[in-house]
Amino acid sequence: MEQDCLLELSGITKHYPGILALDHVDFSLQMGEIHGLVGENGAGKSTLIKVLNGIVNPDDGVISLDGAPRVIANPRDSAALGMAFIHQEPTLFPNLSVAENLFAGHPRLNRWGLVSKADQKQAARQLLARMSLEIDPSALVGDIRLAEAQMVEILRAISLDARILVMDEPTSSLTESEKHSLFKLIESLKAEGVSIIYVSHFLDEVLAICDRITVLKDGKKVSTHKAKEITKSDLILKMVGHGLEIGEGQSQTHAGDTILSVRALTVHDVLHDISFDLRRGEIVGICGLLGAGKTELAKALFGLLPYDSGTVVIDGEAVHVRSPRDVIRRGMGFVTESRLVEGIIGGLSVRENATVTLFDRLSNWLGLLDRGAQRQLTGEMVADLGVRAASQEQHIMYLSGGNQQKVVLGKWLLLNSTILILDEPTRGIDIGAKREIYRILQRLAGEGTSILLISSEIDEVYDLSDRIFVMYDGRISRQIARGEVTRNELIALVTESISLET
Amino acid sequence: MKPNSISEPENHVARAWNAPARLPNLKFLKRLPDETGLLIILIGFGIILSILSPYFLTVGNFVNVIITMTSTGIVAVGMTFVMLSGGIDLSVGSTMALAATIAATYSKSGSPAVVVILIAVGIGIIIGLINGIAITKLRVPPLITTLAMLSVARGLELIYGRAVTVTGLGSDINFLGRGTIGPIPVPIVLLFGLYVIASIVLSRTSFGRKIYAVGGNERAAQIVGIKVNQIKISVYVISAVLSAFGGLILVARLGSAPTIIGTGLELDVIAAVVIGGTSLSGGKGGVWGTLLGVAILGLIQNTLNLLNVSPYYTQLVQGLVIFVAVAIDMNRRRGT
Repeated sequence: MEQDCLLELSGITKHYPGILALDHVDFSLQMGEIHGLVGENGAGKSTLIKVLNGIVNPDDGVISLDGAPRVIANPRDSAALGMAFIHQEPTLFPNLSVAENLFAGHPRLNRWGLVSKADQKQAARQLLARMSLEIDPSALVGDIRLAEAQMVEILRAISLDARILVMDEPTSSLTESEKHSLFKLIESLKAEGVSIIYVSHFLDEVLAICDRITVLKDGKKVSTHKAKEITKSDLILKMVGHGLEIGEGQSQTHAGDTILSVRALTVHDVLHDISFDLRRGEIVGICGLLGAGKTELAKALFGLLPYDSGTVVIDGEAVHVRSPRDVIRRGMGFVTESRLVEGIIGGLSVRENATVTLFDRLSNWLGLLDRGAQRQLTGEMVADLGVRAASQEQHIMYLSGGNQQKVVLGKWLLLNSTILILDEPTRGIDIGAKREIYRILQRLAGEGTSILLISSEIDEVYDLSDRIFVMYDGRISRQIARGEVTRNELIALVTESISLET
Repeated sequence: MKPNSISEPENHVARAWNAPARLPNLKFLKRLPDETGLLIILIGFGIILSILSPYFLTVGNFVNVIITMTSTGIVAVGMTFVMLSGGIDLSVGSTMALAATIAATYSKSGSPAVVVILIAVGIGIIIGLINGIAITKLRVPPLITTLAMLSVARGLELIYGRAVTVTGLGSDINFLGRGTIGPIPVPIVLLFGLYVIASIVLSRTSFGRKIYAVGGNERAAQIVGIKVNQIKISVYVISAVLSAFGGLILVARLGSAPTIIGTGLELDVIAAVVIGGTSLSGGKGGVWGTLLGVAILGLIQNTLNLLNVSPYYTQLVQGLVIFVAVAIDMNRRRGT
């Protein structure tokens, strides 16, 4: 390569039974470069990162650093070569202070051989100041915000003389303002000559902060571009192999009569005086910052968070919501924020995950389940939503995130839910599956299903919603009708509340 | 049990022994890969033993092994339910003792078998309900709740029976332990009947699948409207009732209810369930694996008996087998 090629991969190949995870992938990273790595789920990004980390050993190919070929057999080799890996969730000690975390592996000692807290705190303060971060070095990591913890983790890597930082979806749990601080930190690191491999689903971010972008698809490298010379839609085209325009609005509002009516819903210190109506066939988007109360609203409506006062009326009937059963019976369904923790049931098959809401309905007086009916319903759902699974009996854990999410959604559809609460329904799933889920939601709304769409992706809310609620500090601070504001104004509305917050 | 007491129907009994390996339903065959390792251990034991001891391959010995393991096997079914739901029940041995002592006392004083059985089952229901309600409503962790119950139930048993072995049971209740149905000993019929029913309940019924759902992901189960507490209470009741029932069969076989009955049983039973591949964190496993686990434990004891090894070695070997079985399981899971 032309200039200062720091890291170079050539012909990296990795076979798994039945899958060619990496197929002669070439990749290069220059000194002080931010290199984006994009592709759909299953494109080979994670495998490539694991190769660099020494977790996966490639079958073929050469890794060179500073022009010399290297073998990375395990994570220790990888660290010795100056590579550090930053994941979505920080791997820090929540019970220790920021300073202690920064020096966890190589503590500063005083002359008695004891850890010098003062010395560490001082060094930590310097390090934080160098990156112009305002984090208290003596705060416990468990008490600081996720984004700050992530930055502490990055600093720890830097203090260990990492030259190459690999960031895997670093922004997926961050709010807009936190993202900005992270990007600033990335710029400072770049200025200090650190090279960064940046993996993300968020193409706008990748385009904004990266120098070059490499696209992977089905284990192969498609192409590498200078970020300035490619557009988002071209990038998507390269990733999915067929055209996709993201920002396609919904055809029209076909909202009917009110199906869900919430008045003065209050949960002490969490939700304040929430009132709104949801009509048949309407998609209402809810956006707001982390901690604004979006998920809490969903949980209160679904009987998972007891409310102190307020009324909930479903289809004309006042309901005191004490458990999910109270609202499930009246046609409500809930796709939770965390698919793995609250959505899918590991260990069970696709068929059972899909019909878990129907166990009682599908069993006879002896309690015996009608497997034929389970199979038939699952089959219809799988075909309807386009779930890609080897068979209905496949363990749900082995499906991709997008397909797992379709099954989670599908189980409510099989119950004929008429009100769906979706909390971050497309988090962590690839762009193709996202598109499919958007289409499903639009179709459902067209058929009369009412949807509360909670999302931190402004695009998603903006494009799909008939109305948008902006939440701030446990209240609905703005109700916006379709077309009332532009996309950028909506972003500004959310960022405004950010500046209010800090 | 003497071999000649069932001389005629040799094949029958031998087949019952082999039952888990080849005859039951297709579900089992499909899951064979999971349990193949256990089968190999079993067969390995069998080969070594038949070389070392000519007595091993006799019907009498097989019947003996199964009957010895009947109570453990019955209690292990309940434990499998509990562990599939993500819990654990340490109180099974004491529950068995309390139920057995009280039931034996009634039997001695002339109560008919039906009443005695109802008393045992009733005690099981009460203890199971207390465990289940403490765990779900008071949110005391299963380990602590059932550890406390282990002590409480044992204490009640000693107080009630004044630490004296109850002897001289009614002859009708003895049928449960010593009778035969046709040519087959009653305990064996009950044991295999129970496993078949439990297997159907776990794999085919709404209730059974909800147990897996709760054990696999309790939060998700709650969100889809499964009555999680109800399922949890049910499994502790099942466990306690089967412990009581297992105690009754043991007492009927022994003809008396010694106060130390069921001491340390919880460890054998948990060992059998774990060896059988049921996950400690819940949601994965089943009763056929448990049956293989029970069989392996039974064979270890039988092996050492036949080879005239001191019974002290039983614990040692059992510990090693548990460790190896779980180590293999964990590593295989990590591989996938």
